[in-house]
Amino acid sequence: MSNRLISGAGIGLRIPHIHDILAGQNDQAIANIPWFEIVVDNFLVEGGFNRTALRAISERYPLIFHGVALSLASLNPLNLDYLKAIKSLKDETGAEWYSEHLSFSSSGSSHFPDLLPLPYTEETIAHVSERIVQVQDIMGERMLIENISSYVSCQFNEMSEGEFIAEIVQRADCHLLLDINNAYVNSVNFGEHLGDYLSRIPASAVKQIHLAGFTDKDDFLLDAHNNPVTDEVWKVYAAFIRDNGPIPSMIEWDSDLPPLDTLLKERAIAERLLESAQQIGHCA
Amino acid sequence: MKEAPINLAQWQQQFALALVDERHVDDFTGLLNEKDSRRFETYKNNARQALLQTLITTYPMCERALGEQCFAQLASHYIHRFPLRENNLNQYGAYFADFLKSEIKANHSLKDYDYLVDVATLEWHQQHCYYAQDSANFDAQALAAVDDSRQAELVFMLRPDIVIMQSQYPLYELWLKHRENLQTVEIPEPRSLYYVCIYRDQFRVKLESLSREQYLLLEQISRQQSLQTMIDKGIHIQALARFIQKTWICGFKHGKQQ
Repeated sequence: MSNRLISGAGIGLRIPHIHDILAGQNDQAIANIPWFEIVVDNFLVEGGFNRTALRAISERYPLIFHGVALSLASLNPLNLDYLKAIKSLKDETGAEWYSEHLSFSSSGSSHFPDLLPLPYTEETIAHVSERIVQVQDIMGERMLIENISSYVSCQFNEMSEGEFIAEIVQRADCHLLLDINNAYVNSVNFGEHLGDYLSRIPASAVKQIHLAGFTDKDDFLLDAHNNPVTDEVWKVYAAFIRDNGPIPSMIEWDSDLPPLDTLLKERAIAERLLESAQQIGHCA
Repeated sequence: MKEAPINLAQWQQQFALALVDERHVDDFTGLLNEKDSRRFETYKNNARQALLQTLITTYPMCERALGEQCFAQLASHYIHRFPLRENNLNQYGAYFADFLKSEIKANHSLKDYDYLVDVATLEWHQQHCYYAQDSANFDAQALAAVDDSRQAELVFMLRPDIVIMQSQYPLYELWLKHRENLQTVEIPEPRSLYYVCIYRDQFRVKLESLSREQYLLLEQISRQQSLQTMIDKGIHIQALARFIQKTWICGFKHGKQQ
């Protein structure tokens, strides 16, 4: 288990890449990966390859956990068994922190394998903040919440997404996982100004950044995690870390998964931008 | 601040209803900003694709046998009839074999696919096998130390990944042909019974053909019957040493004294 701090540019660990990572320890580009984020849900299994591989990875690299199935903002009771399993695995692997999405994926007995958006209302803020506090009590530490990509918005929103997130972070006293790609996708999908969005969120609460690629569906952007990070998103990212310092960042790629080498190249771009931001910070 | 004319509960309920039932889509999209309404389809499509992909991943032999289109059509009916009821996608598809059985019975065009009910059962067991708990190695020294007078009480334990199956169809051969990427597979008429063991080897799920005697022995072990009980039932225990050697048996305990 590693005690190294999370810094620099990591990669979202995907099962098909594990063999290459474990076998490629003599490859400088693989050895240089400073940390991995895992989708913890893929490893909440009793045994077999996933668990063994996770142990092996955790012995070589620092880890952080990212969840997709908590349904944080749902009105259903929190799934305590699920959270306890995450906590137990986190203790076992020494993962540094746990993040989840600011969304819901269940209502009553219906569950959905997706991250569904919320209405930006005072009532939602109160509910979600309370849920985050509950999760943090169970985990015994502050969690990170991630802004999601959306394709629809409630006509009764009482505030902007940036204001909504800022209020929740403040009330729940949690950290933020800023997905710059999601913020970009939403700004295009809803015709909003990305600068306004980013100026609303509390930058000091941002503990991690996600970077990913989207698919242009002509009349909207689909957050498909199936492409390289676009130039527009790199620009927004570079500006954000220039203004706010070198925040641990990572490349997410889920669909049409390319060879590890492609992700390593994307990671190298993020790493260079982080180093530049570090130098600017030193000069300032 | 003016209170929104919709609360969080209504939003979540109507969103969920619209995702599972076409009749509720208009009610939900009425809550959206007008220009976003048609994008609601994206959520329906995401949910459908995620579940379809889960079924394809879990049931690749069935998909190949039925063909991409036919499988997708059946999967679509399955998804409608058995919506996701928990947050764990690994558990999705548990009723697919039963569902296939009823579909095959109801559709004359599927009459030649009777065998897929057992294939689906096999594939569900393979899923269980892949993620099953790891187990410690068999302690041969501890077994050797058991007093002769107490050997008959011993109850052996199967590894958590081991599943045995019997079928009227040659599942082992079907599985081999699937692995070899053979596009066409001859399905023989149902005959007496074939027996297989599903197990994990170096993280890979494998199958082994069993004799009837071997199947019955593993079945008794899975039921935690003592050695004496198995002998009394006329079970052939000759394969026990081989199963221990193959590490399919991971341990033993002392049962009740007779």
